[in-house]
Amino acid sequence: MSFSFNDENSLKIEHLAKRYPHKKALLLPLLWLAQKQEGFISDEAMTRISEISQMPFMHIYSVATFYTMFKLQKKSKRVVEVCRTLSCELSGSEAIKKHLLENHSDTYEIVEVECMGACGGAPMCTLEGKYIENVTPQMLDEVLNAN
Amino acid sequence: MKIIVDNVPIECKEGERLIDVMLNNGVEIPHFCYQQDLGMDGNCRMCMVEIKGAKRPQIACNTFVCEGLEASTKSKSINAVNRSILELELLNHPVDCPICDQAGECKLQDYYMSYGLYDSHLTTPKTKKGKHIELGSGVVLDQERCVLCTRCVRFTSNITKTGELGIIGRGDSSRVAVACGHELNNPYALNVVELCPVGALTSKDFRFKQRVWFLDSAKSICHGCSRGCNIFIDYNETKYTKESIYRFRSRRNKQINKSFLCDFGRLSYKELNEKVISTPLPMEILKDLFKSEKKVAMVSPSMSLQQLQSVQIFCKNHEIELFSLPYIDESFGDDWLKTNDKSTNFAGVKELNISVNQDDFENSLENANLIINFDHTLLKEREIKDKKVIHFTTTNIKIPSEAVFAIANFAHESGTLINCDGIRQEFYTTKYKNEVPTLRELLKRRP
Repeated sequence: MSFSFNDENSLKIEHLAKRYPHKKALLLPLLWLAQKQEGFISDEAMTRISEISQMPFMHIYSVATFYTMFKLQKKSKRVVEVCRTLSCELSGSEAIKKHLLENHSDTYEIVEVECMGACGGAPMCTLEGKYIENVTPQMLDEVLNAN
Repeated sequence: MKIIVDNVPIECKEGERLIDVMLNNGVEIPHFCYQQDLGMDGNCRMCMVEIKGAKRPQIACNTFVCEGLEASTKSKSINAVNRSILELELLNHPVDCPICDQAGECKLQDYYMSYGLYDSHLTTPKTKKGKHIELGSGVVLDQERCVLCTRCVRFTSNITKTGELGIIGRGDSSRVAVACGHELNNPYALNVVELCPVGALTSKDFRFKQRVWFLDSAKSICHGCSRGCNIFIDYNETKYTKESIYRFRSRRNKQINKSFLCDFGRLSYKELNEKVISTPLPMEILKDLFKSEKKVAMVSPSMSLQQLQSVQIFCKNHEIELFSLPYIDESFGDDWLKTNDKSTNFAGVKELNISVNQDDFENSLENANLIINFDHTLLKEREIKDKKVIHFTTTNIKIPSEAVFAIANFAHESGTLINCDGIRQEFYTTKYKNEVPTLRELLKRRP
């Protein structure tokens, strides 16, 4: 199985390449695009990235393992991220997390994360990257069951 | 230019690294990640020194000397700094020196004895990482013993440019690894074992064979090819076992091999431990054989100048035609240390004007009745019918021959070699008594 970036992403890469003096600097955007395209970063994707950025495979791999937001395994469940930074914590994110773990951990992967810059809507969480603000346990049930 | 280190003035050149000046002048400076041939990385922070006039301690590997610089490696405050850094390096270390193969040549162990000597401050359990991971090419990794100096990573990415090794993960869980499904695979891989300042990378070939403090070292030269890389022969003789050689280590030579060796050369020590099975013969038996009319001799181009000279004189005295052919292997060489000519001293052969013409040799061989082979590999394998063959050899010979004289190999000889670039180098013998005579001793006994 081989990996290649789809047309849209290839266009983006072309555009991004002009920004940087070296191909090496493309590494992080390439990893992001690969993760966006497949949902995770596969070995094949890293091989392709090492070809594009002209660096050894091991270098790509070590960068990908350094950042926790890069996933190297295919996800079996969809991800709900709960913010645990100050504003959300004060507005009751603890209770939200507990509710999620008790009721939805079978169908969703519940992850704690740091501030995502939506303190105005605290407490907040995300479903597959989409923000849900001012959440209450009832509201969560509705949203998660509907999706 | 003069600088002052620990109140001692040292002569140095403008623009040199402080750590190089210290290392070259025998000042003890603790360091993990700096290696003279890999260059500076500055990640271990172990080489902190106090510099007069500087606000805070500086790493010696990234400090360049300037006129009137005053550095201290021994003051109380710098000792406290070194100690704290060492504590951080050792935080998750399993402290398993009694079963670690690096013990005795481990920097972590040495520095702990000079700076550390504390109990662990850690109240939580140590981070567990991978043990005895086989990386390939005979290198074994213990991630818990690693101090993440990245010498091995820099070696594969900057020197061999193969880039198999890298650091994965981050923080407490960062560790050296090869990528899934890949392995450490290059002809210089075992250098990472020697570069590793601690017991994280060990050689499958050497580990658990011998404690390093039992080993003696002899300065020698690798006989794998004509490059003439400088080595240490690490050997030992115990009460119950005869002298045996355990490994080759690189000996730094800026002109030739820097601090590196190829795996082929590094593992070629095994041939030296081969015991030649032959009954000791008196040289007198050659008297009758030498009466034959046409004699031809072949000498190995890997012999030292001194050996070649004595062979040359011997052949002249007995009217023997002498030849020497190089060991050419087109598939062996590369663009770094390995050369296609696997004979160590072919330049020396040419210097002594020994005939190297293959056609002439074949002609003489055709006409000769007696052939004398001075350890040349070619004749050890080639069976020659209807002719008498005498071997002086360092290895066992499987083909039938008239007489076999065992001689000492290069570990038990001193001499001079000229490498492919015309550099003249000395090598020295190990210190125990030889079981078999050297070629020069043998040739002095007249037939």
